[in-house]
Amino acid sequence: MTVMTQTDRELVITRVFDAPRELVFDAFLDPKNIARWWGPRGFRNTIHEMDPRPGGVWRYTMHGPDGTDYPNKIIYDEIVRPERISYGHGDDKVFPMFHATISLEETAGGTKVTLYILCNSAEEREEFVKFGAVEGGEQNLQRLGEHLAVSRGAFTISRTFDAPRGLVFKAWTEREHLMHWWGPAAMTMELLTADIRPGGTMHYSMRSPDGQEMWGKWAIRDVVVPERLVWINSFSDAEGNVTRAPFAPEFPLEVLSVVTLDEHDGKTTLTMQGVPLNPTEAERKLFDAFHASMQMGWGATLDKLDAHLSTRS
Amino acid sequence: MALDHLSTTFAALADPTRRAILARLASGECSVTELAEPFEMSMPAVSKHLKVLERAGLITRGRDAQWRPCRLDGARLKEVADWVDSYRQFWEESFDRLGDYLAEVQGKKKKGGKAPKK
Repeated sequence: MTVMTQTDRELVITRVFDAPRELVFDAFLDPKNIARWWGPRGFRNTIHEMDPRPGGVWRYTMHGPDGTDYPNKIIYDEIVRPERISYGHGDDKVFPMFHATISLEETAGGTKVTLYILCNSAEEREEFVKFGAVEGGEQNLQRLGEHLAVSRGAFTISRTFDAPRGLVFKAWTEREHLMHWWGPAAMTMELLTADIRPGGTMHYSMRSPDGQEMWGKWAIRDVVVPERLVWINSFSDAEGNVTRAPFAPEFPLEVLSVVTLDEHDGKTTLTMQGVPLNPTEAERKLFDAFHASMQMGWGATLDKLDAHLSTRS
Repeated sequence: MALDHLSTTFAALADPTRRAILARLASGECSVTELAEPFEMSMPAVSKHLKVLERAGLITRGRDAQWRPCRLDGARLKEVADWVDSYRQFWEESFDRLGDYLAEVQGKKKKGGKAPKK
């Protein structure tokens, strides 16, 4: 008989999020919230039931990027708002495959999340690691970070299209479709590279009617067919090296951009959100002003000024 | 395009009180006292904001030592408005085109679907 130490059965993954603890906590227990980010990159979720209290069940199906469905069952052991959630994880056939505890601590940088997984045995832990558990867990927390970032004061543009979600997603992610619509009609857009997959790049050039040429780049982080695309947006040079914005040097070097597609009654609502990624103080200020200016629309203020000045002349 | 001052202008606009001051000045010039009132701020605090706005070229101030009325100078604000608009327009126009394109693609599909029946 071997004495099993706890250490060879466990896995620990941590990450600090620039967000208040309550908000991070909610991201785990609100079904609409968690469906957006739970799981490794490329995965989406269908939530069948979620009853977040001790003894309550969360059943969901994870849809992998290759079309494989993974049924999951979680039974909550303990929920201590806003610091700890622990549960058993498995499916309808095998339960539990492991136990997990998510703990949330307030730190100087925001909230530190520790994902602590305890397997049934060292052998199972080894299997689990071979299966990609560490990478999957890390991706899971990266996706949480992206979700939290855009949940808080992102600049947002949305539009509803009379088309099914799958088609809108293709139009956004496939070169032959992108060429037909991307950019205003007056601009000449050229896709130099369009490799839209996690880790891939899109590099494009954009020429204005007066002949000015700019380049931009998307570093793709996540492709969740057919509902979500996450990338880092930046300006670049002709070779695809990230550069400062040609018009404002303090524009954030990198903007985390997320497009989410929701289908209802055969129509698709597209929401595009953007937030600066690890901005400097100056970049954050500029982006906030940019965002506020977009919401306010200075046009109305200027019209008012014009009207006022004309009454005096 | 003068690039450096766009950053200065944006830095001045990053503060919500300063944006509110500009919105207030759109309906006419004001004294510092008049501006301080609705914001429930001390005069020195308002003066500080006004200095930032003046340095960014967003407002001008009268010469009179006693009564130095603040006026909104629309030129710099217009640059910002135009720039923000061009960004919004990029996407709004793209989405217009995407809508047309999606309609076109689906129209073609429907036609294509009917053909084999005959």
